[in-house]
Amino acid sequence: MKSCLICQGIINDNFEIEWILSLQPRKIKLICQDCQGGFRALSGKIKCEGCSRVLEMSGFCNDCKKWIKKYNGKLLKNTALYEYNEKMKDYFQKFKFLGDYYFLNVFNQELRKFVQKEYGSNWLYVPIPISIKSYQERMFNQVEGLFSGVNFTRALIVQSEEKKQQSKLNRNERLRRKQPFKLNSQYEEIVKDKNILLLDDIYTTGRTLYFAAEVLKNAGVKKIETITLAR
Amino acid sequence: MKDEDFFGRLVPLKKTEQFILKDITSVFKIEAIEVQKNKIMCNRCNQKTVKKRAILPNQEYFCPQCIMLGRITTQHILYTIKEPNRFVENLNPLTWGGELSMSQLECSNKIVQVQEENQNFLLWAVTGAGKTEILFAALAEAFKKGKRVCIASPRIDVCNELYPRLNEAFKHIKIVLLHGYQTERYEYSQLVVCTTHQLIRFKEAFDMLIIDEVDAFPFKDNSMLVGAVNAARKTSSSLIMLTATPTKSLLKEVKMKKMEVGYLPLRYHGKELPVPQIIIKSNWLEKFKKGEMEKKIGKIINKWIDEQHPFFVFVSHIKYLKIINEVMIKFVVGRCNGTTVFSADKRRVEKVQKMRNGEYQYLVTTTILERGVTFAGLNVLVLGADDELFTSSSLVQIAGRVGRSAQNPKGDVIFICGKRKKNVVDAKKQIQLLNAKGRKLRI
Repeated sequence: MKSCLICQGIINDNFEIEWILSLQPRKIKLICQDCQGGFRALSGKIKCEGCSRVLEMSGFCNDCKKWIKKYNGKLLKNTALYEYNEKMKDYFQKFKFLGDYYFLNVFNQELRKFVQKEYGSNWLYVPIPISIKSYQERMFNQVEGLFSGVNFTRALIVQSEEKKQQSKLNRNERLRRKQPFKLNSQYEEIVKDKNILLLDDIYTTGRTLYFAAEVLKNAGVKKIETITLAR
Repeated sequence: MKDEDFFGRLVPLKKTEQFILKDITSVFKIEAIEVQKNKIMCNRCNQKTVKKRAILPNQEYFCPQCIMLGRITTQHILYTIKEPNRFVENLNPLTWGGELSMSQLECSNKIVQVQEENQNFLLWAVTGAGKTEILFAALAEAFKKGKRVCIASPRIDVCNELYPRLNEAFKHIKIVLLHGYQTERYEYSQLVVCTTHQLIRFKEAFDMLIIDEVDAFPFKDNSMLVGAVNAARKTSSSLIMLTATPTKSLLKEVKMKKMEVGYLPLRYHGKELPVPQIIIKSNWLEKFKKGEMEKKIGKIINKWIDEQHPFFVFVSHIKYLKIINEVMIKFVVGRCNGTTVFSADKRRVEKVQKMRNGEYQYLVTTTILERGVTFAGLNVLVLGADDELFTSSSLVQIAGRVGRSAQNPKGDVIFICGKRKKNVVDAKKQIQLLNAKGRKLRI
């Protein structure tokens, strides 16, 4: 009898007919059906063409319209796999804030496969970095955890140590932040004229990813897209 | 930090934070996590974990088992100072003036003796027997002798309810309340009221340890918590376990004479336990799913609303809360208010308080409110009492919410079932048996 990583409930790990017919290797379940059902996948939903937020009608959300204005029409294309809801909040609470690194395994396989299938080897994969202070505290970068197995190009670093934990800021404070990143000088040549996929855990206001993209654009990157686990 | 913060407690500090200890003397230290061949061993919760589950990308390890108390890693050291019992002397700590019934007094005396002789004791008392008051005399004796005491319960609601009552009964004794949802800092005190998980942070601290609802999840079958209980007590100390529905393994220990048992089959007001009424309605859930109130259930609720008595509606699973409450809201509209409660509900404490204030007349709840919560004049309805998630002991507990006050010693306990099942029948039988024993005692 196994218990669910998230709620400690019992995982029903019976053999299912779908699995037997699929001829696939058996996936080990880490979370129970109820918790699984609590995560809302975004594929197939009507969503913002910019950031993947769920919308009632296709088009751009209000936030992305503002980004279009601010960046003269140069909108980032963000793919998010899941909606940021209560369940996802609970997940990040345990993974990122309690610091249970093993939680990366709940989504790692899915994220890795998605990136490899949709983007492949013509892209460089740049994870959003965390500050040295956060790293010392947490002892892992949750983004690199989530996407582990992907070949990272650590082209960005946090430039000021003041970078307060974003989750502690409110929406306006987030939007008013100053550029927190700079280019890792070792990668100056490497990123030029490349396609870059930025990797992050949660897309909230988009502020972080737009800052990261700005640094990379100034470094002469050809094309930038972004992917996050949750929106 | 102060010396006091380490008394009988395991305090984790990072190896880089040892400067905090500069003014602290005679502190004992151990590695927080020991790395073995295939596993790691946590010296806080005493649990082993396979390395793969516990590794960090910088090749350090953390313990996932007690992580809810704050993560500790191979970069931490645990510090403790031997419990010195440094309390202000108080020769008359009890500020409670109530009286005990004859049978309560007998139990109370027994516990005083257990406390003196540092023994183990199981108090089997019906729900609403007045267990807290029965403890007062022994607590007072312990405080007089400068003993350090802990009352632990698996449920936060129980802790929150006990804390003010104990503060009232021992006005000059320092008491701290510890549980995961509260932000107050830990302070050294003679009495600790806490959830069972918090015991993991203590080491040979208590001369007297009282565990309420010893049969309840998550204490049952949890080697981490059982270990924590043993580690939190001093080698020479008393352990008093309280239960209304003892498990088989507890009764076995009693039979094997590992501990003594005290028996209290009567409620403090001397009235019998309300006997549940079992009603078979095979279609109750379908009705709710269709958005309709089942007729019989509607009748019962109407009666309770007319009598203006508060009531709980218990359901087996979180997923039913919404469906059922939607029908409830429609059904009671304009007459009363209510809401839903479940274990991870961040507003749980607030909602229970609102019910106390009379803002809500009912709560639709999972088993989270089956224990410890007391409302005068309460009625309960269990929807799907035959669901296997309701064990017979949890049904006895639920029934035990009713008729607790001396003014309202009666009330309705209604079990709605799809089928007549063993758990429901057993619960009813157990209550009837207790009542029969209680009747003998009165004569």
